[in-house]
Amino acid sequence: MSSVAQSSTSPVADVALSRRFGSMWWIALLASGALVLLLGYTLISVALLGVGVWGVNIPFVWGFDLINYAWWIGIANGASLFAAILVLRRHDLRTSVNRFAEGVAFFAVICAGIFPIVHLGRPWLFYWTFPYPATFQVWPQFRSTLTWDFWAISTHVVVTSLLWYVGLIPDLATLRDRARRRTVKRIYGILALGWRGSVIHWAYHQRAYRLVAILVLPLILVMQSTVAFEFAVTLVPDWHETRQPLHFVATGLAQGLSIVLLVAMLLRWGLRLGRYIDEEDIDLLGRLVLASALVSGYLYLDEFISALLADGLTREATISRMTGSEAGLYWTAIVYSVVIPQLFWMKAARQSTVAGVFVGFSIGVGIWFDRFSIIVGGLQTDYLPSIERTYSPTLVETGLFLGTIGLFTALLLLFVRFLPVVSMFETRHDEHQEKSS
Amino acid sequence: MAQLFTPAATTAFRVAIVLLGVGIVAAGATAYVWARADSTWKVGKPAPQPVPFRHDLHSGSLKIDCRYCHSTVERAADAGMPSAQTCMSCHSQVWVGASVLDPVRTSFTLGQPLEWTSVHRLPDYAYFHHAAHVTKGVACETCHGRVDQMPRTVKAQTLSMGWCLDCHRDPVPKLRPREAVFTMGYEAHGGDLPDDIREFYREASRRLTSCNTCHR
Amino acid sequence: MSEDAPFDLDALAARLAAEDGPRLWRSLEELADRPELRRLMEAEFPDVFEASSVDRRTLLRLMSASLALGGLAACNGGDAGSHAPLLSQSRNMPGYTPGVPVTIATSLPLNGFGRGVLVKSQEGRPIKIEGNPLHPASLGATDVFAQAEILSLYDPDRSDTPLQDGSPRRWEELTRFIRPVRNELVVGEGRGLHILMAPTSSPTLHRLISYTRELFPHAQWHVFTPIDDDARRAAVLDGFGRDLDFVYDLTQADTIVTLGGDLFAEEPGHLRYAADYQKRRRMRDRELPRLFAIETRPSLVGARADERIVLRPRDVDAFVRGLAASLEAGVAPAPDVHPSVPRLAELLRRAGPRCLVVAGREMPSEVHALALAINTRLGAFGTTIRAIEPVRPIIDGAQTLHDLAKAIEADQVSHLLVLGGNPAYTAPADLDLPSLIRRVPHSLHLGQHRDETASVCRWHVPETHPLESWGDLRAFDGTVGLRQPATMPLKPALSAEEFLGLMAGQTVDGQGLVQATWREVWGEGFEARWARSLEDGVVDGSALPSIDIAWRSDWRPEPAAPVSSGGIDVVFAPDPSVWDGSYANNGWLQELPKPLTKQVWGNAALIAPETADIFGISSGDAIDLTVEGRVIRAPVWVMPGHAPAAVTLTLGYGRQQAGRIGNQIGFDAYAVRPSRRPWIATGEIKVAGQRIPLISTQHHHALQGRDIIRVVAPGQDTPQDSDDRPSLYPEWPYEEHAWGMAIDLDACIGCNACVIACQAENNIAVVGPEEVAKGREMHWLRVDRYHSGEPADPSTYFQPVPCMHCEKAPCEVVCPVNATVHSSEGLNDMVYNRCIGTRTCSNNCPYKVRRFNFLDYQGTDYTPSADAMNPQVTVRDRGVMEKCTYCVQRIGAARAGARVEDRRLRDGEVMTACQQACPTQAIVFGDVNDPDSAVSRLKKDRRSYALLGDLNTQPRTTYLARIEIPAEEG
Repeated sequence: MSSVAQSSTSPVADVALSRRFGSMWWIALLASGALVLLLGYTLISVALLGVGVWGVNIPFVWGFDLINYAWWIGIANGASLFAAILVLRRHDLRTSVNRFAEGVAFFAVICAGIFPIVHLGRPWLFYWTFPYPATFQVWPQFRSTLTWDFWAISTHVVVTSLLWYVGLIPDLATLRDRARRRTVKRIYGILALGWRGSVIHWAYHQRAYRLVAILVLPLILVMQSTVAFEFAVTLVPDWHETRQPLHFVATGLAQGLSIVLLVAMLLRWGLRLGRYIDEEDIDLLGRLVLASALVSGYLYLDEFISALLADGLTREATISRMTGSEAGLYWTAIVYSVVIPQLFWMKAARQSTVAGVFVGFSIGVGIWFDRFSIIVGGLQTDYLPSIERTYSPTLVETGLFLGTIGLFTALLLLFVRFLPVVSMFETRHDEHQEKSS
Repeated sequence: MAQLFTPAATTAFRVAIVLLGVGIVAAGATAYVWARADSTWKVGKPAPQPVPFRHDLHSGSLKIDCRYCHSTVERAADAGMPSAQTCMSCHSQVWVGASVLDPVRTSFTLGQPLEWTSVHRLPDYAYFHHAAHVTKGVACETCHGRVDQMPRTVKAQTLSMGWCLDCHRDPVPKLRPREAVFTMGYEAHGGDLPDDIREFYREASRRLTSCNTCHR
Repeated sequence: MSEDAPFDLDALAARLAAEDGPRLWRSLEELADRPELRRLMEAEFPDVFEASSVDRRTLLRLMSASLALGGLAACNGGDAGSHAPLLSQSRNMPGYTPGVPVTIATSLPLNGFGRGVLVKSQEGRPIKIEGNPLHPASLGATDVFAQAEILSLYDPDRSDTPLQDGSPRRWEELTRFIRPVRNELVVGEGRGLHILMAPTSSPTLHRLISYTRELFPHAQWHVFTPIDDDARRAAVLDGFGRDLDFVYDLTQADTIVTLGGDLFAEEPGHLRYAADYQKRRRMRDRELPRLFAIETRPSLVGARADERIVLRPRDVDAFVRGLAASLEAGVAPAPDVHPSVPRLAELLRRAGPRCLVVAGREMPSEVHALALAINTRLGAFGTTIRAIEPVRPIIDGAQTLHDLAKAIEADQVSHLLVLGGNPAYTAPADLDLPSLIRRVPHSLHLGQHRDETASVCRWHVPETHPLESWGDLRAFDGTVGLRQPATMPLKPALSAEEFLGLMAGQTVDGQGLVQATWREVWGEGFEARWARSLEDGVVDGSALPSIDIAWRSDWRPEPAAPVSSGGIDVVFAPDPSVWDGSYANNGWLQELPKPLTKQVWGNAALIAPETADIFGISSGDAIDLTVEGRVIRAPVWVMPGHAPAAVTLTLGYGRQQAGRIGNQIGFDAYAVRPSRRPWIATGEIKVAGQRIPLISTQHHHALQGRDIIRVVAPGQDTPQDSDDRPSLYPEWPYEEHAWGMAIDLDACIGCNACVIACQAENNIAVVGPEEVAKGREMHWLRVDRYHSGEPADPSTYFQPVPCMHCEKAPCEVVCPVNATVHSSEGLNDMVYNRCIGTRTCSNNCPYKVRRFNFLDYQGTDYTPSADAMNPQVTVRDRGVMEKCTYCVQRIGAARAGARVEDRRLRDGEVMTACQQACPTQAIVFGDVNDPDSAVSRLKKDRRSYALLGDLNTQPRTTYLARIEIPAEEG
């Protein structure tokens, strides 16, 4: 490897290899660790007592469990799709954001994966959705969207983790070479799967990396649609809409991008990676976020219009979601995920760290409220007035949500601590090209 | 500087990967076999009983009809357990002094029921009706095996749901004419099955495989 | 006979001690000491005993080792767990097949009247109550209270030991107390002895009472029930000059006018009356009857009526006078008659003898008198009304509760005997009975619970539950039903009969006492008749004959009192769930949504929307209600159709010593009940500025213009849905049966019997107030209640909603694990043991009939004893979905029976629990594959329609539109 390259990416590697990492990191880790404990507590209480510890009832059989699931999976999908596209298009942005975009996707899917299992009345029997030759000779019901979801989520875990890990291999090798302590060397060494940077290695790596990236493309469509189908295929007046999958895909993308932006901004500021994540990258990212926000804006409009065109009860249901007792959720969603991002029309805003963090955060919040509005607000209107009820989340539910956020942050923190947050080999590759050209 | 890994490392790693794969498959196979093993279902495993009752004596050697003791098997869900009085109807004459019969006599004397351990008990969400089976040509032997050869009563079949379904899907081959229902060691050959029973089951398999046939 | 008494006391003590629960070890200990047992064992175990002397310990070890120790425990058939043992009974029991329930015919009391029931008893444990088709007050139907008696029987809070000043005593100690006291009283001929009991129809009780009176000539009897008919009695005595009861025949009535009360819920014959009214409506050859309800508080009869006339109680009098006047019943017309009086009078006149005017229990005696006058005037007697001897005869010389209070104040009461009931709680507050009873030197209370009365009496004696003891009861028409035990006593206790028998120096064996009564009556041929009567549950030909009576010709009503303008009318009413409070500790009833409010776990002060506006309050706001100087704080419930300037309080809540379930629920209306005007008082409302959360299972009651309840004019038909709509769901073939249900909204009176029958049959959990408030009640069958029209006087509709068992069931396709599937007979099976609890099926159920075990609802304080469970129905686990199964266990049992007998199922052979309980046969279940089955015929009816039919779920449960006579014809 050329000395230039060495020097150019050494700070990134040093981050991972340095012995001390500053008190901020520790504080953040402890905070998120506490939330992870909270997660543990809520999970245990659900396991011991049952989902009754949440605010769920008939007809609101789903609460935060599905809201959070839909939300996390959206982040995972958005981020992985974004990363995959960058890889396939060999776009410059990939050098700077790919690594943690993939990371974000992977950690989000882990958080999401918790919910389909804990939301069950009898979680210990979740494996019954998996087709295996049981002695009672009963098979899963393949027409059920929940069965599809089982496959979707498990595929998702595999693919996103692969995308992330395959991308990491060459840099793990670099860390192995640069590490001083032998044990550290060995650990990175094993993780690097004996990478020696030979041409054949690079060829295989590129093929594998792009192959996985291609797998991601259909995955997001399938995944988000499956989530959407869980609502769309039911008879619930407000859910029974062919437009649901589109809505989930688009808002999911916006959500993924926004979280990537959020993390990018924080890392750039926190680890002083301005050199690797430069203004151009940030600006481009900002434009993408704005674009995706506009798309979701369009879809909200579409929702409204199709509601007007729909027949009696469907219209009533959607309108009551927008204007009824739960209208707050709906409008919060719109303000946070569509209106606020409009700041990014201004270049200054796109490049300001504060604005970036703010917008990234607000879209995340917005989409969360969107899921809340669909799952809870959407159930307000049912066929028989006699069964109309209200839903209010409990502390345990909220704890579960905060817990997953803690888990996500903790994983992210460990990631930035022990692994290169910016793809070093990609950066080197870039700079080579710049020199050669 | 010294090498991190020996040249063998790569091979070792590859082997590890292969082994992992093999291990997963093996685990699956083991689980599959274990779930179907007789031992898992306690087949052939006797249970402690208050009285060392011997079916091989009563049913086998003495040729006492099943229905003499299990008297409600043809009209109720429960086959019915003989009362102490039923036992005493013979044992007031034979084995009068035998201490193994103390529980029976005490039960008879004090009017307290006698508690046996069931070896065939189904889970309580499964509802089985003896009469419905017996009256339609399902023999005792089909589920309980050669009771007439059992010194200690044991399970002869797994009684797993799959095992029930195997018959419920297509009962006819396993059925017998009414008169052969209580005989042991009968050779079933479809020919001697009365038409009414064939007729009855021709259309029945959908109903017999409906969940509510056994679960309520 | 007084000298027999001591002997009987010992017998009693012995019996009760022996009965003292299934405690094997103790009974062994006792047995071991008995020489006769020792002899027995020696005979049985010569080999053991010949070895010289066998000491007690050897004997015990021998017995215990050889005995089925779990045997007795395992007799509580409920726990049929995987480890349930196989039991060999000691003796052959002819006629008893293990696992096959036995049916016992008996009678259950309500307010002293009997309702005939059939008790299904499994391994000697009652698990379900059905109506007795042979009994005139039931005709096979049941009310909610009869259904719920199962739970009351197994109530863990039932008292099981005598108490002296609150501390437990052995039965021997009780007898040691009673013997001298009794002798002393016998000597003193009962001076100072006062006996308080509720009015009863039991011939045996009355026989024993007369014996007791012979023994204690100077003893004073007092009769009291909070649900009294004193006003009606006063009117009857005034008009007919003698005491009478009335039996109505609604099959004959063309025009019925009810003045308050609730003919379909609160009269002794309510089940029969509801059934007869529907029978009359179904008579094709006759024009529909007209039912008018003049009422303050909405009632079931009002909801069913063709027209409700909402009046404040104080205005009813004027209304009836107007009516009577315009029928020239010799009454001066009131100055301003109600606008609808003339029309009503016209209809009554047209109906002539086929009219019926019934005044409710709470009405003043003038109203009762006027009603009777109108009936007499139009010749209704003999057609729609029969007069019979009073079913609950008056104990001659019996006094009221007031007299008792006075006597105690005058220190004339040395001994007070409270036979059943809970007067310390149910007595009007102004009598302050509790502190009065405390003043009595010797007081004894016989009751099922350690309740408010038990705590103020010196002694408390456990009373048996009606299902445990012998007795007899007359129905509303006098028909006698024998009360026989459906189980061994679960707790050592005495019945009122046995206790009186004790006092009267008769035997303490309840059966003997009842038999003695009827041996006197029947003479020879007793044995045969006794056996037949026990089997039938009714004594045939025992209905009281009509008697000719003449309305006093010179009768004139007192001149109408000027209608006071001040204050608001406070109406007291028995509660549809807990009656007078005696059912307060019954979880099924507490969680049973009240028919009209759908409120559970509590009561409320019902007020009109208009009143609510005036005070600016809404449901859940607390008011301070002042009646004659007494104040209670109560949450209001804004009740559409309630009369303005009036408030209705239901009795029976706010109990302090009901038990673990019934304590501190709701508010106690007795606390403001004036003893002089126990039913309608005048009071003042003050807004308390506090909110008291009310729990209800239905929050929206407007139809919102949706096609849910259909109403047709007589002879009209409802638009039929086309059957040939395309569907992506598979078609199902049905070789044999295809089960279906038809629910006639014209017949449903919303009485809730089906709901609680379903709960009893299917082991449905009681989840408690907190869970219901969260919207998690478990009832498989709910009765939706809708209002339409003006809130001041809306029409009310009831719609029972079980699982629809859709042909194209949306729930089936979304379950990931195939836990809810279509059966070969069209049932929508729910397989609990396969369910993993994703709850998607509920999301996809447009009828929302699915219920989910959000928590472990079968392991709570509300969970009844395992003995009360139906062993034929799986008890559902936490995290599992459940719903109506069309009583698949009954289908299965019937099919198995048919298989064994090698025949096809007959139509009507399978009855669902809800169908069987329904007094008006509103629910019909059967095979829709059989074109001639009752259900098929109903589904072909022109009134038949599917709920949400346009969703093309093709529900198996369909409805028949309600029939209403358009207003203009009225």
